[in-house]
Amino acid sequence: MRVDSQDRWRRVQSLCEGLANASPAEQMARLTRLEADQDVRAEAFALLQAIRDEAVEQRRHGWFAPPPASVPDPLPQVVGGVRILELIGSGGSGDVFRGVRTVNGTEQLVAVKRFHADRVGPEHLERFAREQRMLAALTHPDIVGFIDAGLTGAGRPYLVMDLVDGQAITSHCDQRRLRLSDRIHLFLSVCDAVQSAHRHLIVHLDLKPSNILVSSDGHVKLLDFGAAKLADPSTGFTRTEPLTLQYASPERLRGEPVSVSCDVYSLGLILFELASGAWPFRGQDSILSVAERAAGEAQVQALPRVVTDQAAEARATTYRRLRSAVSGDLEAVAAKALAHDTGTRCASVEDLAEDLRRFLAYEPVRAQAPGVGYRARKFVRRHAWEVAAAITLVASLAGAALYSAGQAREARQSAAGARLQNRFLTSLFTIAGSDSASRHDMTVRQLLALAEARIAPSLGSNPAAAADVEVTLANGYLAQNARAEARALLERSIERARLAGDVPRQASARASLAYVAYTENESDEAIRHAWSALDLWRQHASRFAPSQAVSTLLNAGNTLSYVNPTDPTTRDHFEACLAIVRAHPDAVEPDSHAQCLRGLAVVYINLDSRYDDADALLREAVALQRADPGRTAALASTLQILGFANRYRGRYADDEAIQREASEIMSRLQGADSVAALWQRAVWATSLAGVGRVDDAYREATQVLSAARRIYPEHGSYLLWTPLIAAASAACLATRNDECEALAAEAIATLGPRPASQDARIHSARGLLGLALARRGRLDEARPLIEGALAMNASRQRPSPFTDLFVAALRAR
Amino acid sequence: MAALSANVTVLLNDWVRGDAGALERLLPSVYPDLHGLARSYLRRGNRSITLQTTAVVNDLFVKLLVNRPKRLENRKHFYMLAARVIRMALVDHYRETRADRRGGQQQRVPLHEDLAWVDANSADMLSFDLAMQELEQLDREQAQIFGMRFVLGCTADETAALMGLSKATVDRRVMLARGWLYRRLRGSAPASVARVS
Repeated sequence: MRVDSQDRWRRVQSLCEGLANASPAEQMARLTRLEADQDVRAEAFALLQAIRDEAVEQRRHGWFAPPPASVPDPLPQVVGGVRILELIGSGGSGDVFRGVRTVNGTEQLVAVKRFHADRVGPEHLERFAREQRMLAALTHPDIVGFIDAGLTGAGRPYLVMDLVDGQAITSHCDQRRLRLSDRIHLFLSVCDAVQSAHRHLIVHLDLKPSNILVSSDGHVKLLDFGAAKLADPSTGFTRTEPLTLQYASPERLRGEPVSVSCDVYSLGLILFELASGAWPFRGQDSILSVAERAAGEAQVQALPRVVTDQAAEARATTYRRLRSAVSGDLEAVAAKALAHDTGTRCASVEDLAEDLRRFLAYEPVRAQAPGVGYRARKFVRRHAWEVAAAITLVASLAGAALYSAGQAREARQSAAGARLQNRFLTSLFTIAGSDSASRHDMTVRQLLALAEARIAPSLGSNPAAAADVEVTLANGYLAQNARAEARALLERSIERARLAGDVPRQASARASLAYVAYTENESDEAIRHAWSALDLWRQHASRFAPSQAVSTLLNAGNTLSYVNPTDPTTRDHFEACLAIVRAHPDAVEPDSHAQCLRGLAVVYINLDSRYDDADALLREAVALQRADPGRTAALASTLQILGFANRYRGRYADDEAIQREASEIMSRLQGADSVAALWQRAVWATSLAGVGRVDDAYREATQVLSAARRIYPEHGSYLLWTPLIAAASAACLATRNDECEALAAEAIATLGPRPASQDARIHSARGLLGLALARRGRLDEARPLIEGALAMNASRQRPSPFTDLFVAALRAR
Repeated sequence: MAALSANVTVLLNDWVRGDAGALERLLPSVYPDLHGLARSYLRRGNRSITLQTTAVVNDLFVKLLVNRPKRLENRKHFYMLAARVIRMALVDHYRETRADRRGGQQQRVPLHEDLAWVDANSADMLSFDLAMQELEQLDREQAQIFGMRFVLGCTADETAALMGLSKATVDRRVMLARGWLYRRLRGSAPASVARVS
């Protein structure tokens, strides 16, 4: 009988599975065709009918939420001296009301949370009172203010708190499309508030987005602090509301004693959500998910894996960028906060916050497993921009960083050159590694400080050597943007040399200080230091070793030249520098030699329009640098200047070949997507326009443009100028006037609100804009723009591939 | 919450070692507690049973999952058992409170939001239990799927993973079982449906 019915059921089942979506008439027709047994057929049809009916019934109940049959408690009149206005929230642990409290005749709007009646027995009153006192002591700008607590006449505990108007942190962030870094900043203020509570020995135990509000002006307010414990003071395990289990830590789910670690875990969940918009476990609040989390069987999903297009959009970025931003460090930080075991979990909210701050600063996070490879990658990422900036600074006639007076090899490890930086870094890692195994998480700056601290014990007896090392370390600090440290080091070095009566080292260190001041935009101070160094050299030239004289002249000369590119005195400094180098070719580093040549060439270009002479000096410098495989980046930047010199003397083909080589070097050295390589490629694109390879120029320029926008949106105007001008030139030469106009206008916009007379670049962009306008018959608008460009070129005796076009445009009509 | 008794621990260890019967023998030891919890959650009223079930089951897991069943087969049994425990607790609760009802209207408590027409706070619960017993005889797997889905509150994905089936299969089976249950509880004549625009 049973076997019979089972067999029947199987037949009914297999019939129905294929027919559920068909119309009743079709079901009937197909059942008749498929099944001979009339009973089975009838049963199957009845089941199909029941499936339809059930769906209707379920929808009906789904449409109408069952009305609350029991009348809710009437609104209380007064709770704890607060006149109740309305119910604003209701949860498993109690109800929240809005009310008015009168203090000294002033009315104040407050929130009142009244807990369910069966929560606190009389035996817990003393404990409840103690908790209240603790809460009262908890004042933090980001924690909702505690006003009062007590028991109602009916024995129900209540809390009176400040009324907060805000939005849950997750929806606040999504609605405003906050970027990842802004979200983390906001999250850090949450951490700060939680930390403050932990210092008062209060754990929250119920951290979740709906308890973390953000006001419309962006301030965080944490709600319900200590409410969890107040609600159920009998045990460590608080069971305020089943839904809260979603954000509860495994040990809390298991009913084990709770600690700050519970809050770390909940914060980890919130961080994960803020970063990715996703939940770290499969199944958000399903019973299985919660239970498996309690048992430690749930796997935290990797942060980058859960990222979606939608999440990227809500974070004002692209899928790829968000995915790469949350990969690695942030992933590790979140995973450490979400560790099942409290032993391996991030130990405190403070640690979590510290790692997030490190993440924001591109410093190594402690949650990552240590390793030199990781640290080196981190360094390169953190300094990619600084290193590139240093190189492009050199390339844009701005010169290298500091030239050491000493002959020490490390003196050459200036900010330029990622490979040299890395070598320098590696040596510092070796120092750190030999010192203590616990140093694995040192930052470069800490390493520099360590090295600095070693100067006195190991070099104290040799002030000259100490001073040289100090210049090297100052370079390291400069690369770190730690200008204050660099400055302090140099000032100490100056003082050390002065006490030792070592004028050359004093002068050399002061010239370095001039450069540091320049990088801090302290132009007056930079000029003062530079001249003070130059005066020392002039008065005591005979006491200077050639390398000391060269480093003094280079640092001072470069500084003066950057502050004022048309400073006529710079010619003297670089000529003097070059004379020394030529007299003592073996005593000076080839790179310093090349820098002298280049400095003078720049003077010839900027001051004298002596482009042929500049070309000769630069070719000499290039030859020196080609012989030095360690200075390839410096070679590329010298090549760029050489290209410009040739462009200005009308040798467009030479310019193109030179810029192409520089571009290839940069791509190989820094990677094709690096800032330096992109920029150099854009310069090459302008050369391509110069030789009339309009299509190639346009292609290169637009590729750089889109790469720059995609990869370095934050460096916008700096990087966009050159490719925009190159693309505009190409468009103009191809008489695509609309495009030319748009690109030229955009290029002008990147320069910002700058007076035209101070920036020659604006004339070249305006010239292109004028050309486009003239071709479209808007000659009146075009004329002043074109005339400005022509005047600029004429004043600097620079021909331009556009000169003829400009002139023709002005003659038109 | 009290610690597990020594007996419970021994039974759990037996079970983890592969003695399937140990789980059945475990039931009487953990049931009273769970039953009490189910009662207290139902009494508090006005929230959906799913949340309350979540809490009840969570307590079960809190007690048991510390000795986590590693093998999938063990885990599957464990969840089956949990679903049965919940069902028993709900039925017993209804039986016990039935006598107290003085004709006043009781609050509806949907068994699961996706099975909202089954009122766990009414005689529906008795019919539901009987229907499930019948289904267990007829098609054990079907009953297990249904219990996991609507008594334990697992998602279709989770149910599929635990049962070693595809989600599509689970959905198909659930659809049939829903119809089957509807026939048992409401008979072949459907309740008239009020249309609301």
